Amino acid sequence: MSAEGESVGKKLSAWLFVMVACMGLLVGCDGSDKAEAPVRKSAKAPVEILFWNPFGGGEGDYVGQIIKDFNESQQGIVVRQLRLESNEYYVRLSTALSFGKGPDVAVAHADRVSPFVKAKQIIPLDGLAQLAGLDFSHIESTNRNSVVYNGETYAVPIDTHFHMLYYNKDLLAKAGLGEDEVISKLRHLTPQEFMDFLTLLQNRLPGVQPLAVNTPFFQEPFLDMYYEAGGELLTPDMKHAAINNEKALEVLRFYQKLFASGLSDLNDKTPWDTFHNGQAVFWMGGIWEAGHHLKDSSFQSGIAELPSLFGGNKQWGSSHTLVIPTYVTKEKQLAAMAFIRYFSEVGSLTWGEAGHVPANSTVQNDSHYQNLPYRKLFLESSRHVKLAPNTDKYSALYTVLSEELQNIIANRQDPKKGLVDLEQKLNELLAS
Amino acid sequence: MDTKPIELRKKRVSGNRAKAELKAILYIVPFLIPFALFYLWPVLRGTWISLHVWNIQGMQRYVALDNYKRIFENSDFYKYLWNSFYFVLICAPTVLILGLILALIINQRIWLRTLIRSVYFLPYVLSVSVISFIWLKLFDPKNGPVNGLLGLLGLPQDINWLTDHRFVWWAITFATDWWTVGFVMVLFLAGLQEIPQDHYEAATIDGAGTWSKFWHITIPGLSRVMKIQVFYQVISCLKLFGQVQIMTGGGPGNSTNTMIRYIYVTGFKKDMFGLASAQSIVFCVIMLLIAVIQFKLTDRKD
Repeated sequence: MSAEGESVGKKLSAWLFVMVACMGLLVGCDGSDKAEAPVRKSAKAPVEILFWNPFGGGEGDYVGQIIKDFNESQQGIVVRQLRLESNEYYVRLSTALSFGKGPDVAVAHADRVSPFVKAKQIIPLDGLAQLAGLDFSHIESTNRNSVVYNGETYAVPIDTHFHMLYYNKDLLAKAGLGEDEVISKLRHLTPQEFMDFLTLLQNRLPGVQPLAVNTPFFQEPFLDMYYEAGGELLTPDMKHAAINNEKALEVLRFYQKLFASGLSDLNDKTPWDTFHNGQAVFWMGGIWEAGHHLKDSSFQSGIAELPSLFGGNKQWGSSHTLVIPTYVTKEKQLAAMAFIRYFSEVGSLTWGEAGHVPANSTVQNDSHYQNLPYRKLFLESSRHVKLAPNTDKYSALYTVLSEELQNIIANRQDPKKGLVDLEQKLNELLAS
Repeated sequence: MDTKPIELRKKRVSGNRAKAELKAILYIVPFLIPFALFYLWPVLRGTWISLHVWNIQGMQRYVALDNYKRIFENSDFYKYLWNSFYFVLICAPTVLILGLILALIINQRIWLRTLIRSVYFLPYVLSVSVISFIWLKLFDPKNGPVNGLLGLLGLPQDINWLTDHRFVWWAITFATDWWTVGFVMVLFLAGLQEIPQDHYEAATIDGAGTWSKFWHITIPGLSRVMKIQVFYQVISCLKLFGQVQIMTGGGPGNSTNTMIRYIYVTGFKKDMFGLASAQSIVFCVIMLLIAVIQFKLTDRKD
């Protein structure tokens, strides 16, 4: 053997020695485990399931509490959660569902479920619900119907969520206005009268935004007012867009005037924080923020229905549901359904504290829920929610709607032209 | 003369060559396998998808080149393509000039040289999400330190860095420059250290001033590094995505939407993977063309 060969040989044997030593260590570890094995075998290991949710900030903490309570309430199942950023949540969820690896139970909005059903990426839950003892008749029919496809229920709705009008009581007092008087006045105002009222606030409270509008997600406040005006997103056969009309034009002009006159700050990227920090008198925010705003003792806030500026009382809204992917094993499916049942029947009370209106009617009628502040008003408002049209292209339509509306408000575009473009793009999408 | 030893030698030589070639192939296998698996295969697969209507439910139907036709008929494509190029025009020169200035400063025998070099290089090790969130907070119009500082300096009104058309590209450029300038600086520094010191000494003897030494020795001496840097910066600026996705979401009103974000939204948000694949292929071809033009324009000898 040459000197080089010898040195290689030596190196190899050194590596082999190290590897054997490591294996020995591993065997050693194994041995110590074996000593405890008989004890472990007697108790069945709990089933661990992974739960994906897109809830951030305040909302996420309530979900964390529900998971903690569930894990403590029984021994057989352990729920682990993965919190994901809400904007990109569906990108990750649909990728996970396509690849067949990801959550065992996940949150999905009712209006996003349809493509997953068509792609057979989530399973129907009727049989599992029966096994786990979940009674679908306790779920509000509007919520349940939105997730039924070909007679089968593909998701368990946990809530309805929509917008309310939040107001800062301290700022109203500072402006010399009585809370009750303002709230009753707001019920029946025209857009112009509402703007006049906001101008009064602007004059009395310099440096404060009279009305914070959700500009980063402008499609939501737009749809609130557009639905109030009696507008529709699509034609009844859902083959064409129906958005280029006088109602949409009026709503867009109203918002453009609000921004142009400084009654709302178009550049505010975090209007929810602006309100929470006492820098806005009114805020058309989600009910999911109720717990967050109301429990903060640094300012006094109140909640009212959205002002009916455009005649009707319909408003934008959606519903969170829980779904189980197709790739989940039978054992985990059952565990996931047990968790879903707990969320719907017990967790919904905690969820209701965050602000969402629980989809479970038993929880809605529970005195604990009913006694939470403003919850009767929430229940009343939830009847006005207009859920999204049931099409598997809703997610794409919503993206186009959001982009084009951003173009109109951010570029101060002529809304007439903007609506023509929007309708054309929606139609292109529907035709593809 | 006995020919046997020559034949034997020939055999040995050809045997050695085959061995060497086999060895060479073995050496590139670790590169070839991931290249074929993670680059070639996705490109081929992407091309295949681009000929179909393809969504979350998989392949729907074959449409031949329809997706490509749709791209060129849509004005958004040209708008976002221009946005990508606009970013190249403002970001590449600024980061190169800043990098060069920093390298020139650090190349001097100044106090705490290593510390300064590390400080400037540090942001480069951060991920795009981290730097984007840092600058998102820094550029916050109401509570951000940037406006706070400008206010202290006497600026009367807050600037809406990320929602005003006039400032948004500069805000993204600033964040990107801060993030990548360290890398540009290090490459220039390496280039500077390659320039022989005696060139400067000779120029000093000939009575050349600092400025003329910079123009006639430093700049030509850096030309090779400069070509690589320009090439690299153009490509990386064209690929802008993370910063706009996090800092502006393509806004205000799509004014910072770039090609990569357009492809992302078409595929993942509008569920049109066939069209998005076609967009990727078109953009890939455009980038390749730019690379070829750059190669042709710069020194062919290199």
